[in-house]
Amino acid sequence: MNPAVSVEALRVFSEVFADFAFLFGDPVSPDELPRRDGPAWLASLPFGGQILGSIAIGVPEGLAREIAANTLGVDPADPQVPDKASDALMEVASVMGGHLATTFAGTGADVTLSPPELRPLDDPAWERLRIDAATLCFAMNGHPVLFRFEFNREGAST
Amino acid sequence: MAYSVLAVDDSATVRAIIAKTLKLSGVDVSRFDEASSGDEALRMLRDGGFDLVFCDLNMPGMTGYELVEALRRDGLIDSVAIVIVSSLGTDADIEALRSKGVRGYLRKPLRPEKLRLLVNDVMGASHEPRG
Repeated sequence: MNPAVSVEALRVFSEVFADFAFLFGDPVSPDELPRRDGPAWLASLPFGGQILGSIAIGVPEGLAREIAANTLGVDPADPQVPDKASDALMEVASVMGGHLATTFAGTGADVTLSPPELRPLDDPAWERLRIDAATLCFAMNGHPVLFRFEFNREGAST
Repeated sequence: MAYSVLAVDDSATVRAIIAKTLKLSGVDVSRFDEASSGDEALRMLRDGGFDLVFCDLNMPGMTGYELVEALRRDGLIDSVAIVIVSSLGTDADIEALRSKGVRGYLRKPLRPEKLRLLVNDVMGASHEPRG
C-alpha cells in the first residue's frame, strides 16, 4: 500500500473504531499480532463510482462480540450480544467503507457502496490474509485485527 | 412534543443504535417502530402515523434511494420527515436526496447531540407531532 494512503487508511480505521465501537487499535507487524482464539469472520464490501475499491476486516468472534456490546451500550454478557455480533461487524465495515471512499474520492465525488458481506475465515484463509503484504495488522483489546483497503482512483466514471 | 418514529435499516444493530441514540439525545418519542427493508418501510408508511423516518441508503432489495422515489410517486414524501442515515455522505448524494424531498442527512456514527440538533431542525415548529 502506498505510504500516504496507508497513513490515511490507518487514521480512518482508528477513528471509525473509536467513534463507532469505542475500541482502540494499535498497528503491529504480522508477527506481533495477538494470538487468535476461536473462529474468525471477514466482513467486506466493494465501493464504486468515481473510485473503485474494497475493504475487508477480519476479526475473531470474541472481538465482534465486543464491538456489538459497545455499539449497543450493553454488557458483553448481555444475551442479545451473540446474535448481534456479525451484524455489528458488518456495520463497522460499512461505516469504514463510506468514510474511506469519501476520504480518498472527496465528498464531491459520485461514490456508491454495496451492502457488506460476511464469511467465516478458516485458519488457512486467516493465515493467507495475515501474511499478505497489503494487509494492515492491529492489536485491539488483546485481539488480532486484519484490515485490507484497496482502491483505484481511475475507477468507473459513472 | 413526542414524535412517532420509524427506523429503516437492514441491520438490527443499527436500528438498536438509532433507538439508543434517540433516547440519549432527549428527543421525545411516543412510538418507535422498525423496518428491516425498504419494502417493509413503504408498507408501514403507506399506513401512515409516522412523523419522522431514519432511513439507511444501502440496503438489499429496495434501497433508501428507491424508497424515497416510491414515497414521491405515492405523494407521501411531504407527509413525513425523512432523515437519511448513512456512512456515505457525498455532496452529490445529499443534494440529490434533498431535491427529492429528504429533510435531513446524518452521517454514521450517530451522536446524540447531532441527532437532536437535526431533529429540531427538520421538524421545526410547523410540524406538529402525533404524540
